[in-house]
Amino acid sequence: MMELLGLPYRWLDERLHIGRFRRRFLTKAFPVHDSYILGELALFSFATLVITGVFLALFYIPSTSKVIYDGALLNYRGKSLPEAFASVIYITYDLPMGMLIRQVHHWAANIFIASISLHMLRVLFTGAYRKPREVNWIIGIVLINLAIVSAFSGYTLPYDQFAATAATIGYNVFSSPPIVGEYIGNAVFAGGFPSQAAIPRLYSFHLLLAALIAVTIGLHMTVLIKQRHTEPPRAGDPKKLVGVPLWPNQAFASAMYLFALLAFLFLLGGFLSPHNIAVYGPEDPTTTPTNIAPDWYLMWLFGLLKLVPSAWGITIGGIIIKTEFIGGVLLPGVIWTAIVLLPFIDRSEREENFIANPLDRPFPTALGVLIVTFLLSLAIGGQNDRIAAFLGLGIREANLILFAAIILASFLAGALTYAILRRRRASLTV
Amino acid sequence: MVTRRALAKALFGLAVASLLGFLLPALRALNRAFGAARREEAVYAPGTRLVDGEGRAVKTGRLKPGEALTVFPEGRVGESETPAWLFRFREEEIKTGGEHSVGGYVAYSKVCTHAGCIVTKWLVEARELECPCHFSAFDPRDGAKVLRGPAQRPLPQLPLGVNSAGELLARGGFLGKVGP
Repeated sequence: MMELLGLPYRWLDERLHIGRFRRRFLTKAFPVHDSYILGELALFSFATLVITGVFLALFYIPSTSKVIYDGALLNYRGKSLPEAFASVIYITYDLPMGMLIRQVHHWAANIFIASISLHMLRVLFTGAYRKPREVNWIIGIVLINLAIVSAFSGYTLPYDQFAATAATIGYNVFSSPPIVGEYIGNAVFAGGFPSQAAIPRLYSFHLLLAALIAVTIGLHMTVLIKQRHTEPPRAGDPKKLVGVPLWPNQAFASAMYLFALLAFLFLLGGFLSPHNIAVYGPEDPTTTPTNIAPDWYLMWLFGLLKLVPSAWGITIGGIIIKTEFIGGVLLPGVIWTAIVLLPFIDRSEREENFIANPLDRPFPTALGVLIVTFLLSLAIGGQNDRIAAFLGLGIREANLILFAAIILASFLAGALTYAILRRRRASLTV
Repeated sequence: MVTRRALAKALFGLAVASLLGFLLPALRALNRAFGAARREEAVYAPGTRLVDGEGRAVKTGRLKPGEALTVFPEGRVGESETPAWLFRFREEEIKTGGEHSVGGYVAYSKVCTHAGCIVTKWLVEARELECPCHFSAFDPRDGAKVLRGPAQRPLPQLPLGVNSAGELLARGGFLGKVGP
């Protein structure tokens, strides 16, 4: 392809040795497996986020000062609004293509986190985190957490009622750790939420996090190229990598995924409004909307925040342990630590370059099922008020039942998976 | 005998030390980002009149027993940390916090002590105040004590009084930290 460029190509090649680069990288082997699409989708969602984000950044104003909105949306025309809210209303209702691009940005954030999560589950259940890829497992965990925090900071920026409530809860979770909490809360939210300084601070964090995610993705892929992909089991030397070359096979397949993803994102962004700020209205510190809930990827945390009973909040030697610290920081910390430690629990002495069949690995698969069941059932626990209403119970009773059910369901799912897979293995070896 | 390597190490140490010394004021300035205090001024001063959402003073005849209203300190309607629940109960209904009540009126901060949401729901049947975020519940007849977690502290009470014109006023600030 590059030969078509003729003279400029030869000029550059003499100076930058592009030919050597092409021989080395364009022929890089990509193993083929359907599940390998997930990481690519995450990468392409991030690219979409950056491009749509740059567009939005040209029009968004991170300020809570009141301005008079004089645009096309009649509900707010002539009203005094916080500048951040007014600028997002302007992007959504006055700027050509603004609504579409904003909604694609929001949907791309959702798909970004969804594809990272599924990619992570794929790596978990196929044991692709084993030696020598423990480092990239940990980099990946850093990445999903950066993505979630970045999504949260972006969610708060329109400064609407929903966003403000989310930010208030976020501020109180960040400030909940004993002793250091106040310092962390002040640093992240510029002295509290709601406050004049918080929105500019959150905006700068949103951009900083985007840069950090870009760097971490770079690191993740550098390690991937250095260590090479895992691949589906096959006969032959496991030290060699068998797959299709980057150019042209993989590049065309990837381009196809990219366009399919873009089509899907624009379909979602065109038809479904993910965060309708005109309905929520601007931030109002005197009230909180009903049916408040975070986006789906924080629903497990929401469940933890709701279900930790006040009796757990205790005072040790004058230091108050708040329930929002236990539910919002401590327990999530324990869950993430367990996930980080997985490659060190399910250890392997030799280098594992082939992905495993999850059905062949009773203990790691059972552990994965336990963690996934726990997170999903916590998300259901986040709906405690609806469940209580459905069962005709008080919320206190519903909380107790949900608490027991979550623990029971998680361990039962894990134990059952383990038992079934052990029997399967026994029947295969006979 | 000073070797070249030792001298180079010493000079490098000196360079690092002088750089840190030079940056010390910036590091101390950075401390302000972490130490920034939240609003310090009290939301209610002694004698501040209570007003409704439209800024009208609340007279003692405004509510019937069992009714509720959102009130603000005069001149600060709609600001954060200011909204309070004002209830009127029959005086024998009030279990604790009666010493801060006047004529069956009691008032509590609306900011939830769990995660700072606004406790918007007054469940008349159950006589509970419920937070829409994580569903903590409080009993306004009993010092707004926690009926149900995850909140750990009661909503801070506002000591009430009445002036000669029959208007409700605060005898001081909230009795406890507003919010978490």
